[in-house]
Formats: sequence, structure tokens, C-alpha cells
Amino acid sequence: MSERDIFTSLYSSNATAPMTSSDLTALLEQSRAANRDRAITGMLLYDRGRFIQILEGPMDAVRDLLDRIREDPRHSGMRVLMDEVIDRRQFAEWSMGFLPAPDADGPPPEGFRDTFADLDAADGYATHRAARELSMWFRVRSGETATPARARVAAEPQG
Amino acid sequence: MVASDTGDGALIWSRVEPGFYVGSRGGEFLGYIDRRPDRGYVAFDLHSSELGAFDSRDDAIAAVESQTSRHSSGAEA
Repeated sequence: MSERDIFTSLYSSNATAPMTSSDLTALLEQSRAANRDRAITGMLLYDRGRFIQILEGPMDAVRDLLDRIREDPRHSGMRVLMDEVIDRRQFAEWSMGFLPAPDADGPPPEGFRDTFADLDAADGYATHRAARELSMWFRVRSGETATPARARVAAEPQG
Repeated sequence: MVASDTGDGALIWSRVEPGFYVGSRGGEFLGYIDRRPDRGYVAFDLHSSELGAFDSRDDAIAAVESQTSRHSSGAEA
């Protein structure tokens, strides 16, 4: 597969135990080391016991990694919400960036859908759309230079 | 009333986080709005090109929606 044919996958899962900052740091260090060797890039979000991660890279490498992640005892209930071939990497600079969960301030404004609620929707169409919205948010938050400091915690550009 | 999402081409706006909103129609992204402390509601197209900064979210939404209307109508050569 050429670098032009990149496979991306986004999944959610639930931590089997609350993750401390040191737990997350260890997880990210492990992830970054493994991803560099496999030409995988992506982003991780952790929110009150829930992981959301987007991976991108050669299809076989991403699928192999998903299989290994599924067996990781630190989480359960893994659901792949989006996977597709894309033209180019969206997170080329990130062996595994990390974003804290967005601030929550109640329901969305009138007339708006809630991306995080739609991730759990029974309707596959809504789930897929929400996954793509989250991917967009990941990309914007990981790439903009004017991002508030709170959105760059533990982020580490790929060397 | 929350916009229904049946995948039939309806216009959908979603909040990812407070101040960050993504618009789509029929599964295709139209653009997004990012509220910034120093500039207000900044509208972007699908490719993250800025469409303008606005005092109100509604005006930013209109900017995203109107640029897609212009593209679809061919009015913007």
C-alpha cells in the first residue's frame, strides 16, 4: 500500500479502572513507541473512563494494532465507529497525540445535535457522522497554533 | 427541537464541545465554527479556510451555509 492509501479507524472503549495521570502517561509512552515502529499516527482522548482513539497508517498495521488493543485488559467494550481509506494522513505529526475531554456545560444549544451523544446512538448513520465530526475536532485541536493550552496537554509531536 | 439525522440530505449542526460546531448535509461536511476568546465565532470551510469572524454564532453559521450555497449554485467562479 502506498503512503497515499492510508487507512483510518476510530474506536471508543471503557477503562476497566479509573486512569490516573501517570497511567495515561505510561499508556501514551507505550503507544508512541509502538506507533513509530509501525508508521501509525493518531490521537487519543480520555474522558471520565472512556477512551476515544483515532489511528491511521497502513491498513494491515492499523488492523493488527486494533486486534492488540482489543485484548488490552485496561479497557473493555471496544467499538469501532469509523474505518475508511483516506487520501492522506490527518495527524502526520503525531505518533499519538493526547487531548483532554472537551469541557461539558450541559446540553447543546437548541437545534444542535450532541456529537458525543450521537457516538452512542443506535442509528449507524448518526454514529458515523459523529465519529467524523470528532475526527475533524481532533484535527483542528491538534493542528492549530492558537489552541488554548488546555487542549495540548501531553501532546507530543512525532520526531 | 434537535435536527433529525436521517441521512437524507438534511442540514445538521452538531456541537462537539462548547464553542466548536460542525455542519454537514447528507454526510458531507460543510465546515465548522470555532469560538475564540479574542475573535468571537470564526467560521471555516471544509478545508479549514477561514470564512470570517462574527459576533454571533448564527452569523457564523450563515457564512458556512452561504459559502456552500454559492459553491453548489456555481455563483462563485
